[in-house]
Parts: sequence; structure tokens; C-alpha cells
Amino acid sequence: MAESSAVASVAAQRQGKFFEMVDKLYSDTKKQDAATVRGYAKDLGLDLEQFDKDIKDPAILRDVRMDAEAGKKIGVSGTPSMYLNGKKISARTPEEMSKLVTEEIAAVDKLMESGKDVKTAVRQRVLANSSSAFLDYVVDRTPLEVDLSPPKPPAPPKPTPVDTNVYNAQVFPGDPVKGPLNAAVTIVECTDFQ
Amino acid sequence: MARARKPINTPNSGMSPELKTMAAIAAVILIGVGYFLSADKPDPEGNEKKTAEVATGGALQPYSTGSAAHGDLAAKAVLVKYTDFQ
Repeated sequence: MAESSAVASVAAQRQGKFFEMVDKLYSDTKKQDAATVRGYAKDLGLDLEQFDKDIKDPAILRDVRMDAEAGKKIGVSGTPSMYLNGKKISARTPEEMSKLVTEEIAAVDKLMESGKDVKTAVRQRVLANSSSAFLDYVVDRTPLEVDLSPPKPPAPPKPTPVDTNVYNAQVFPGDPVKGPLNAAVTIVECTDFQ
Repeated sequence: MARARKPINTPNSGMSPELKTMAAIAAVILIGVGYFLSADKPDPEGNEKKTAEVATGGALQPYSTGSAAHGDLAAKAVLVKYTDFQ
């Protein structure tokens, strides 16, 4: 479903409404069937005949799958993932983000002082911040081979085998416990603090 | 990790809306439409786009997958964001 939504967003972009479509798609992530998405296109005033053609255009599907492949090439492991001039960023606050952006712009300005144009300077920063893969597959969009066959339906979940083992959970003096140490049933919970 | 009788916390589900807005401060000029693991968040106010337009004086058009406009862009900081729709 996510892939068909990605295709719809790119189809909307062909009519200049990528971000508007993205907002619609996020308005209810559980409801992204074809009729709903077409309704979004109508709401946005898109040319529906063109939209219907575009969402079936293999070129769009190829672009979307190439994006996913490019993401794998550069190590994207989840979303949202953000890269600033090629550098993966994980700023936690707006202030941190502003600092990163300011630093990056300053670095580009410095490169431009030596006579480089902005595009060359940015490319140099991307290379310095990441790898040639980022430049190749994200910036330059070097074509990647992708399978354009329809997505396979998700495999039904395998039943989780019941663990019939019996564990002897020992409780030692000093452990954080509630209840008597000689209780007939002991529940052990493992947790962390994230 | 510790062993204690404490409710297990849910993992961090994503960034704050404020940060998401700030993420576009440089320029949203390339959006990778991936479909990976976790969920993103909506931007009903269009803050990403608005912020990008303000940050670039409106000279820069955000674009997404399939655009071939790389040569016309003049941003000094390029933000690439991978998102999905799950």
C-alpha cells in the first residue's frame, strides 16, 4: 500500500501537487485504497484523466523503486531519514538543526570563495559528507536496475510457536522484587529506559 | 538494560512536529519516496514547503522523485528526506 501511495504522490507531482498529495495521504494512513487516493486527487483539483494514466505509468513505478534501492545503497534503514548535503542528520531540536544547516552553508560559502559555483561546491560537500554512492544514486540518480513486476502480496503471518519450556527464575536477595521470595509464581520483566 | 518491575516503554515513534518543520529550513529540494520501516507524520499545515519557500526566497521549487531539475537548483544546503506512507 505504501508503494502505491508513493506512486500517487509522484503522479501528483507531475501536476505540481506532490506535497499537497503527501499531506492528504498522511491524513489517514490506514485508508489509502485506490478510490480514496483518487478522491484526494479530485480534491486537489488534479486532472483526473492524466492522474489515472500517470499512476499506471511504469516510469513512475520505476522511479519509486529506484528511490528505495538508492536508499538501500546509502544505508537508509527507516523513515523518516534525513540527509543534509549527504550527511545523515539526527538533530533532536530545532536549534541543533539550525546549527547544522548554518555550518553546511558556511562550508559551501567557503568553497565558493575559491571560485567554485554553487552546484560544484555542494557536490564537493556531498562527497566529503558521505560517499560516492550518495552522489551517484541520490543526487545524479544513476539508474538502478529494478524489478517492475507487481508487488507480491504479504505472506500470511506464521503462527508463533508456544514456548512450553519451564524456566526456573531465581530471585536473589537484593533483587528489586515485590512479594514474598517463596512465591509459587514469579514474574520476571526485562526492560530498558528508552 | 535492567531487570525491574516497570512498564516497558514504547520506542520513540519519530521526531517532533517542530523538528519536522525545521528540517526543511535549508530547502526541500529532493524527497526520496521510499517505503521502509517506520511511520512518518503528517504535515497538514504544509510547514515543510512553506519553510522551504521562505528559506529560499521562493526561488527554489521543491521537487520529488522523477524531477530532472538538478541543474537549475542553487541551494547551498540540500536536504534529502526519505519518507513513506505507512
